[in-house]
Parts: sequence; structure tokens; C-alpha cells
Amino acid sequence: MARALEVPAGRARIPARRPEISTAYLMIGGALLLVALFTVYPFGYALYASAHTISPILPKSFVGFTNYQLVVTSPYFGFSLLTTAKFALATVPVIVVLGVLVAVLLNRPFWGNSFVRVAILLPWTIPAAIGGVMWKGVFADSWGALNVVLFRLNVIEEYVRWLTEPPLAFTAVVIAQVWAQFPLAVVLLLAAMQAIPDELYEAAALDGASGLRQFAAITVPFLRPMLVIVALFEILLALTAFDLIFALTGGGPGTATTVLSYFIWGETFRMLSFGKGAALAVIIAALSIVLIVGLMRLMPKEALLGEEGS
Amino acid sequence: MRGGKSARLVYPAAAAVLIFALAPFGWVLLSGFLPAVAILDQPPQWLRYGLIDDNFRYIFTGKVPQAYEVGGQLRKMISQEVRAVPRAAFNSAIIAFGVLLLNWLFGAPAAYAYARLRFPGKAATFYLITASRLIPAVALAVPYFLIVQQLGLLDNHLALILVHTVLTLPFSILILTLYFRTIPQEIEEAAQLDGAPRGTVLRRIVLPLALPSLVGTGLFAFMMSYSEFLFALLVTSSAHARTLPVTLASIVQNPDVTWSLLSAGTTLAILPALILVWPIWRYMVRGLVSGGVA
Amino acid sequence: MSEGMHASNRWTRRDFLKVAGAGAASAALGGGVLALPRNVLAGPTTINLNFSVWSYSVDTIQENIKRFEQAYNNRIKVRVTDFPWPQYRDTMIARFSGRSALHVLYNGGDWLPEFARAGWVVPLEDYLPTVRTNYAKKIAGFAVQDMTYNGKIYGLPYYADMTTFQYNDVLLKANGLKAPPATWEELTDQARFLQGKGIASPILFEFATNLPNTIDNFTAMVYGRGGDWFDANLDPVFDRPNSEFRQQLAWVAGAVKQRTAVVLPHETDVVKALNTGKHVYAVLWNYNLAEANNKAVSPRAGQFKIALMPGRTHETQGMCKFYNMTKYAVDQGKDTVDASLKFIEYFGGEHQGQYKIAKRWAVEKGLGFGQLPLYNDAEVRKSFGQWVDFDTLKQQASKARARRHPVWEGVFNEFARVQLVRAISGETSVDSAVGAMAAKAKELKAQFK
Repeated sequence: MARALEVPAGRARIPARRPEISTAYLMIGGALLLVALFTVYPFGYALYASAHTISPILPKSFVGFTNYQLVVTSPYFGFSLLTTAKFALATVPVIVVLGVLVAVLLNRPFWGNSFVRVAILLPWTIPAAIGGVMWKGVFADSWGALNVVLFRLNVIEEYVRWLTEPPLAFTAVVIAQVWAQFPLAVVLLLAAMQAIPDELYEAAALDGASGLRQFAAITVPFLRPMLVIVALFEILLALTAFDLIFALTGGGPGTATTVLSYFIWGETFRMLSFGKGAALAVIIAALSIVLIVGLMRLMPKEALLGEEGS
Repeated sequence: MRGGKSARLVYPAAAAVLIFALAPFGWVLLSGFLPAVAILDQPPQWLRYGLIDDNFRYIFTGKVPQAYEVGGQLRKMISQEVRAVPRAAFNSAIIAFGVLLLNWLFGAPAAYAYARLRFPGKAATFYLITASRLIPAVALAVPYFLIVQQLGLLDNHLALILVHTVLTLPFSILILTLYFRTIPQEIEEAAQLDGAPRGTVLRRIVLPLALPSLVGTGLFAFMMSYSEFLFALLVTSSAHARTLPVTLASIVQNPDVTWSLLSAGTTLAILPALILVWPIWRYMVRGLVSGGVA
Repeated sequence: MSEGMHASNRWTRRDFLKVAGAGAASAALGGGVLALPRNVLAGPTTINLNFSVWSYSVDTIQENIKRFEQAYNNRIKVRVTDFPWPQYRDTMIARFSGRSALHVLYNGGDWLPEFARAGWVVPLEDYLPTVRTNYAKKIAGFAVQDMTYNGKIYGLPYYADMTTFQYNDVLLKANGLKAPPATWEELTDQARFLQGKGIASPILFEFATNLPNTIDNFTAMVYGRGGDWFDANLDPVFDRPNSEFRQQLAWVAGAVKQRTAVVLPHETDVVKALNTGKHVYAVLWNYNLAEANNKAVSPRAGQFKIALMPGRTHETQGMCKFYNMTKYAVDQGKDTVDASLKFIEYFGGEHQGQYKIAKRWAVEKGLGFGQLPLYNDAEVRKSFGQWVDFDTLKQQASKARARRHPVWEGVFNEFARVQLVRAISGETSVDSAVGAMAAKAKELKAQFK
């Protein structure tokens, strides 16, 4: 079904004119300038810094890959990478699937549909740290809303230690992240679903295809590019998640919810080793690139840039 | 997807989604109206002392809540910082709106160019823009600051608007490019055959058709800016012009701020975003309905 | 915009890296606002001072400033800027590196060595001799320790406090226990006993990876046993076999494992949890007791008391936050220094023979104080008496000492916190945590020679 995104062959096509190039650069100029200014230099600087020891209380020196080595062999890298990976693996699929399901739901007309569309945006409107604090009020062991409600409904006899048992705390953090992120997935997937022409469904219905079959044969392929993008973005967020988690659990209990990106802040600003902080950031960026390239293979090439892109 | 069988699931599903999304807010809203002691007391009975509006009154007028007046002890152990929340929320909203506009202004043309035009350097610049989001923001904090300072934009909301725009543009462009490509080219080609330049085609034809996506990415940019903390902290200036996340950070773990006072502050913090989101989203809904979802 | 940078107009690599390496470059924070021209603004004799604080009761601070300005006929004007507490140190580092115009700031014992070594702050006693001759003996020992670097006192106290052992006396007695524990082992017994009575986890701790209090709380417990981190040469003593440090770490880890203790990530969480009546003991900064016993917000207000820190010596850790003058102020000349000294003395010292500001913090907000004469003040005693036993407090204060602060402490603590937290939760063993911390300390000490 990616064919729908291609420009059909044989149609009269406007030949590419030379002036198109200047038009193109005029159109992308603003964005390109802004992004380049704020990207090329900072990224270059991060790379540069990662190869040096930079700190206000130590002399600067070139250290090559030492920072990377120090980061990877540091006591925190191993366990926090694992925790971060678990966190990404737990949250991303849930967000994507939930996003699809809710988008499907909202794609149908029903009374109250627009209210629901507005309401689910709420988790998105708040800073991640505040979201973490709000969920703390829900999950707090001894006074949180969840325990109180469950207790009053006689579902539990004793309060559950949501935030002080490592696996439960991890679950709490996953739930909070899903809650904060699924609106984005819904918005994007819903918009993508809107783009699917009705005729396709009508034709399929006429052919006798069931709702589920229509979904699999029409909706999913059309959604694929957007699904990939949503997944990519959520992975990125999961790899760099910090505010929400730390507001909710402080990284605990113990280090059960301590993720990698905390240490960037720690290295850069607390330990004053800007070089190591930059090295860690570059590592995370590299991991992201690997994941993204991998996932991009799932996306039809033409979808983004057209037949001439790659 | 369609058909009577699944229709029965719709309302329970919608209810479940609503509960999931809104429950924490419900709790925050409620606890803003509860006295602090009611929340902690065991066995739990939130409404044992009824509802009070003291917390909100304190934020707006500075009148210390009733509870603090009794006992005469340490009556001043309440934080004034909470009173800065409404103003900070307003600041954040202004900045976020600027970010939204810039995203449209720079993002839409760029996405159109990537979707429709051929030009040398297309792939390279595209990947440059989208890859710029890969580095965790915290590592870029210092270089960003230096650039802003060199441009002479410190202590200026404009600096934050620029930084936030840069952070949101890649995603906006990505989404819009994708969406533009799904628009059938015939309409544009017809206009071009009539002699319309690309810019006009974009403005008059493509943008109206891409409205849902535009609104979606605009919303995304707005929200991201509204809730962004790191750069707001770096570039933040006087308390009067401070943004919401920074203000909230100073009260969240403050011993002089009870859960109910914090909840009241949080409730107020959400309001501006809510006010702006609702009409936009409704508008998007209307656009979608007329776009033909049966 | 920081004057220093724009004046030069050339960005050397060194300049870039110096500022950048400083970290969070929030020098912008009020950079424009605060880069006031030297001294003169509203007239030839008005001096403008910039004062940095963290965001706590800024309105009270501003009121205090007004009184100060009036006391000096508005010849000195003070502009205060506040930053969120969790980011305060990082923000100050950035601003100092960016050569922001700052005259006086809140400083803390654990940051003092860094800031002093970097040349950003100056010893107060060098400019105000009465700090040594008059004030030093009127300030609690642990507070003086925390304000001292290289043998010199750097400021006057804003507030000083100790970590104390807090417990719910009513719950204790209601369950049949007569008195709080005198040792940690006794606490284990009491806690197990209370578990049998239906209190699932009687003990509460405040530890978290990202929380500086983690070190403070744990250190206080080690001090209770009479142990320490480092000796006078800043060599580790905590890794000695069977040190008090090891004992306490093993004890805490054991309590968590047995579920007699639960770890929460912040003191505000602990205070709330205490007030649900589900827990009995906690080790926290003393000011938290004021909140726990605050009738306005705590259902169990009045039930909480302090006891001397359990352990052989009953010592605890104290700290002092103080007013510090900057090198920048000194560079501005004698008049500015004069004004800054007046300001600091008004706030942290005596004004007309009284410690008005410190007393205000104590009486209105329950903040601990470093100034000894306040222990004899009737109003202070009355106000504190509403939430703490003043005599026990005094007794504990006499047994409090400040932690030794190496210049590399910030870096070390960041590392140590992760180790401590993991050892306490059982994710690593006590021995490997102690070993890793000792190795790190030695490495840092060598690096910063």
C-alpha cells in the first residue's frame, strides 16, 4: 500500500525547473539556518569536549577516548544502561499500541468524541517533572490516591508499596511515562488515519472484508511511516527520560529506576567533568542513531523524501 | 473498525481512556480543595473536613489559609513562591505560542520543499535537521547558552523562543513532510499548470488540505515549549519573567508547601495550556469531520 | 550580559572552555539585570549590592532587606535573586565562571572549598576582624567548622542545623515502649517489636541517588557511632576494617532487607509518611520536625520528638549555611566592601547588639540557628518549644560536628551517593561499595593535589 504514496508513473509531470532550486532553498532556509546554528556548533563542541578534560577546578587537557572509556567502565554505566533499556522496551511498545488503539477509537464518530480528544491531551500539557510529582501523589505508599481508593473499595487490605518495592516502582515509572506520552502518539496516528481515503474502506467492505481485515490490510500499511516515527521519537524520549522518573522516585528504590541520562547531568554539572558528560551524551546519541537507522529500514523509502531521495 | 459488534466496546473503551488520562488530574484538582491534614490522616477519609478554597485564595490574594491561623504556632510556614505560579504560567504560554508560530513559519515551507521539490543537498539537509534532535539536550546546554549570549539575546524571551523552536522544528518538519506527501499531487499540478508559483501553491492549496497535521505539529511544539525546563532554567531572567517549569521546580520539594497547596498551584499551572488547547483541538476536529470521516 | 565578556570582544578558546566547562550556564540568570555599573546608580553615595539566594521564603528575605536599607538610610540598596534549591550550586558555579556581578550569596559548607579554591569567594574575617575576635566564640562549634576553609572563617550564619533522630513518642508509648533507643541495635529490637504490633516498617530513611541529603543523613548516623569519613589529612578512615562506617552501612542495609526500614527519596515524603501514623522513626534534618509538628498541616502534630542520635557517642552532623562575600565585591573597591560587610553583619551578625534576622528565621520558620546567644532567648525558646524539646536540642547541638569538606567533595559525593544507595538497597554489597568509595577518594585526593 506504500504505492499510494508514490507518484503514479505515466502522469504528466512538471519537469523540474532550475528556479525550483532557489525556491527550495528559500523554503528550507529559515529552518536550516536555525537548526544548523544551534546544532552544528553544539554538536561539534560536544564532540570536542568529549575528547578533553574540561572542568573549572582542573586544568584542561586532551585525553582522546579516555572519557568514553571512563564512562563505559564507570560503575554506573552498566546498571543504568540496563535500566534505561528495560524502560525503553517497556514503554515504547505500550505507547505505540495504546496510541493506535485510542486513535482507532477516536476515529469513529460517537457522542463525546471531541471531548475525549481534548481530554486526553491533558497529560501532555504539563512539564514532565510535574507529571512525576502528580503520579507521586497517586502512588505514594502511605497516603497516595491509588492506595486510598483501592483500600476504600476493599480491593486491598494493606497499602501496596508502589514506590518502595523495586519492581513496583519500575512499573509506576512506566505507567507515568506511558500516560505522559500516549497523547502524542494518538494525535499523530489519528492525523495519519484521517489521510486514508474512505473509498478504500468502502471498496473493501463491498468485497466483504471484516473490520479487522480492513484494519490489517488498509490501515496498518498506511500508518506504517507514522508508526515508525512515533516509535522512534518515543525511543528517543525513553533514552533521555529523566525529569519524570526522578520526580516520581528519585531514581529509587536504590537505583532501580536510575537511568543513564541522570548521569549526564551528574557528570556535567555536579562532578564538573564536562568532557565526560559530553562523552556520555555522544554515546547516547550514537545509540539513538543505531536504533533509528535500524527502524528506518521498516519504513518505505519513498515515504519521506520521494523517489529521488534515499 | 466499523460495524455494529465493536460499537458496544466504544463507550467502555472511551471511559477507560478518559479515566487513565484524567485520574491524576482529578486527584490534583480535588486535593487543591482539601486541607492538608485531610490527605494524610488515617484511616483515609479525604472529605472529613470538607472542601476549602483557602489554597487558591492564598495564591491569588496572599491570605494565609485558615488552618495556619490556629494554634498560633509557626503560622508563617507557608511559601510565597507558590503565588508566582499564575504569572509564570502566563509567561510560559506566551513563549510557547511564539514557538508554535515559528514552527509554522519555518517548518511548513521546509516540509513542503522536502515533500515536493528536487534539489541538490536535499537528503543531506533533511538528515541534518532531523538528526539534530539526537543529542540529549542537557549536553547541549552550555553551547546553546554561549550562542544565545553571543547573539546578545540573554534575558530575553526571544532567546528561549529560538531555542525551543530549534528543539521542535525537526519533528515538525518530519511530520509535515510525511503528511504533505500524502496529498495527491494532481491538485498542485493543476495550479502549477495555471502558472502559480510554488509558494502560492503551498499557501493556497496544500496548507488548507494539511490543516490537521499543521494543527497537530503546532500543538506539539506548543506543549513542548510550555513544559520545557532545562533551557528555561538557563535562560531565565527575573522572577517576574520566569517560566512555569522553573517556578514549579522551586516549590515542588519545598517543606513549606503542602501537597494541597502544591496541587492548587499545579491546577493553575495547567489552565493556560488547557484554554489554548481546547479551541485548537476542536477546530481540528471540525476540520477532520468536514474532511470526510464517515 | 556579563561585562567581562563583552569588554574583551575576543573569544579565546580558553574563555569558551572556561565558561562552558563550568556547566549549567545560567549566568544569564539576571546577567543583564545584575551587571550593574560599579557602585553608582541613584546618586554618588548609594551602593547597589546583588545578593543570591535559593528559593526559600524570598518574601521574608525581601522584608528583611527593606529593614536593612532603612537602617542605613537607603544608602545601600540590595537586589536579591533566587534560584531553585536543587540547582543552586550548579547555577552559582556558572555565574561565577561567567563573572557575573554578585556581591553576597548564600553559601554552604560543602561548597565552600570549591568556591574558595576557585577564587570566587573571600574569607570574611580578612575584612571584618570581629568575625574572629567577637563572633567566633558566639557561634556553635559545628557552624564555625562549616564556615571555615584553610583556617579562615568565610562568613556569618544564615542558619545552622543538625540531623536529628526523630520519632513519634505517642505511638512509641502507645505500643508499650518506654523510651527511644540509645543504640542502633536497640532500635532494631524496638522496630521488630513494633512490627509484631502491626507497624509494618517503623523506620523511615531519606536516601536517593540525586539527593545531597543522602550523604548528610548517613554521615549523621555514622557520627552517632563516633565514626567518620576522613581524618584531618583527608585520608579515608571509613574503609578500615570494622569501622563505624561499615557497621552503620551494614545496619541500614539490614534494616531495609528486613523491611523494618523503608527508604523514601525526599524529606518531604518522609514527613508526610510520618504523619500517616504508619511509621515511627526517622533521621532527618531537624527543621523537618517543625513541619511534622505543625498543627496547620499535620494530622499528628505534637506527637513527634527528638532523641539523641543513637550510637556510642550520640554525636551528629551539623551544617551551616552562611552569607559569603565575593571576590567581585572586593574588586569593586572599599565602599562596596564596606556596604557588603554591613549587609552581612546585619543579616548574620549583631545589629545593635541583637541577632534580629537570625532570630526571625528561628521564631517564624523554625530554622535552626548558629548563634549561641539565641539559645538563651526567651522568645526563641518559646517558639521552638512548640515543636521540639529545647533542652534536648541544645544537648544535641553540643555534640554536633560538621563534616570535613575536601575541595573535591562535590565530585566525590556524586560518586558516593550511588554507591551508598545501592549498598543500602542491597544491589551491591557493603564491602564493594566501601571499597569503591575508598578507591575514588584516594584517586581524587591525588588528582587534586
